[in-house]
Amino acid sequence: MKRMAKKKALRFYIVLILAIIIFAIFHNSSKKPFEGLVHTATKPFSSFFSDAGRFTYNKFSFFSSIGTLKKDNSRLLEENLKLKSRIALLNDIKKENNELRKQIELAPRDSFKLKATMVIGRDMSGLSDSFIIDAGSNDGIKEQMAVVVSEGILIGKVKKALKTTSYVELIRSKNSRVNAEITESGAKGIVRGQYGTSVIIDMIPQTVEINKGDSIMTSGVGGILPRGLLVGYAQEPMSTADQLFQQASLILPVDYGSIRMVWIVTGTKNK
Amino acid sequence: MKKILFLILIVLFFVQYSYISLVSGNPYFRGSGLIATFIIALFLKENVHGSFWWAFLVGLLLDYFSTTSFGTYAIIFIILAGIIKIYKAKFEQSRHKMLFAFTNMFLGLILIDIFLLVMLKMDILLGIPRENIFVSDINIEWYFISKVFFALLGVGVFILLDKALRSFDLDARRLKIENI
Repeated sequence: MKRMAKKKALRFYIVLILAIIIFAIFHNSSKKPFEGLVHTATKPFSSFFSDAGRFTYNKFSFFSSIGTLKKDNSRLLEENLKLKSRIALLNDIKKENNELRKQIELAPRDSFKLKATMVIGRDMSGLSDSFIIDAGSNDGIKEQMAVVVSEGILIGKVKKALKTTSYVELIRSKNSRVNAEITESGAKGIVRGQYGTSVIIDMIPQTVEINKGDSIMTSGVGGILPRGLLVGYAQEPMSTADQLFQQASLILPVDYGSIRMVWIVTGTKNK
Repeated sequence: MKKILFLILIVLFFVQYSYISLVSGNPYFRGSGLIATFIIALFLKENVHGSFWWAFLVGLLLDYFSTTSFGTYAIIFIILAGIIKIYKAKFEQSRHKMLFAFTNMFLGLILIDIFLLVMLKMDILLGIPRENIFVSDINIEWYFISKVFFALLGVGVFILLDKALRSFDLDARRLKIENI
């Protein structure tokens, strides 16, 4: 009996020492042994399960929405009529919008070189809020490149580029920092994540007026991210604890849960 | 049986890995909950041999797909396996099997987080820039709700595993008897 217990204890120490040795060897390196190989080998399975997950989610959403279909239908008919009348009005606004875009330098999506890629997984530790995409350094992806969706809406940066996959750190991640500015006033600040739940713009001087609904875009300061990518819209401002600056939480225009495809900004087009 | 357990683990791993759409809205469900509950259920089973090796392998697998240092989860799971072995030897009572499984799951999941924080602190002491997680940032209510959810899920896994292992043991014994 004692021998069995000793054998078990010995097994425990051997495995633990082995793990500690591995940790000690690799703790200082950002790369893990055969990491690229492991990610490449598991990519087809990740894609499959990712698609299956989305399919299940969509089915759940569909069934849960059945109860509200009738209500939604009549609401949509009403909205349709309203929207038809607004189309004419919007055509005018479109012209005005283009003018405004030029004035506030919010970059249109076609001014960037984009690489389309799919989201196939996420960080398993749950510590950093990040996605794993199915493009890597073999596809020209480099660290710190901006990741956007839709009409140039920033969702994060490439944190780590492996050969065939890359980690994307989302802007709502606690460690994410993005140089940004308020388009209406031109005031510069830093957009940072709040433990994966919300995003705030910080370090805005007290003298600047922040209005609810002000749009926040990347400022291009630091040269890491291009200028003119939409980040979100400001909510009510508040002073920081030291009263030196003010900050405001942001409404993000994207639902991160439903993101399937993202674009990596690999460069800007010269026009 | 080991092969089946390994297959289940791989499927769970990919489910957890590609969990984006279902739970990404809530950070407390984003961690390694599914894998952790399964591995604790494995530790709780007496007739699964080599739980330390399981801990080591699953830990390394998690390390490959997370932003932690390589080996972090391996160390955490091995220590957890050791603690559960000691706890099991001292406090296991067959009358309250479910309660025993639940408390083990719940405390095990919290211990994983505590160990993870200690390992991150160690990283910082070793001069490696890592995520700065402050306990004050955590929404305690949601944190415990998520742990209770995963612990209950773990109890379900434990029951299934218990039944599966028993039937496999019976089959093995029957085969032995037939051979004799």
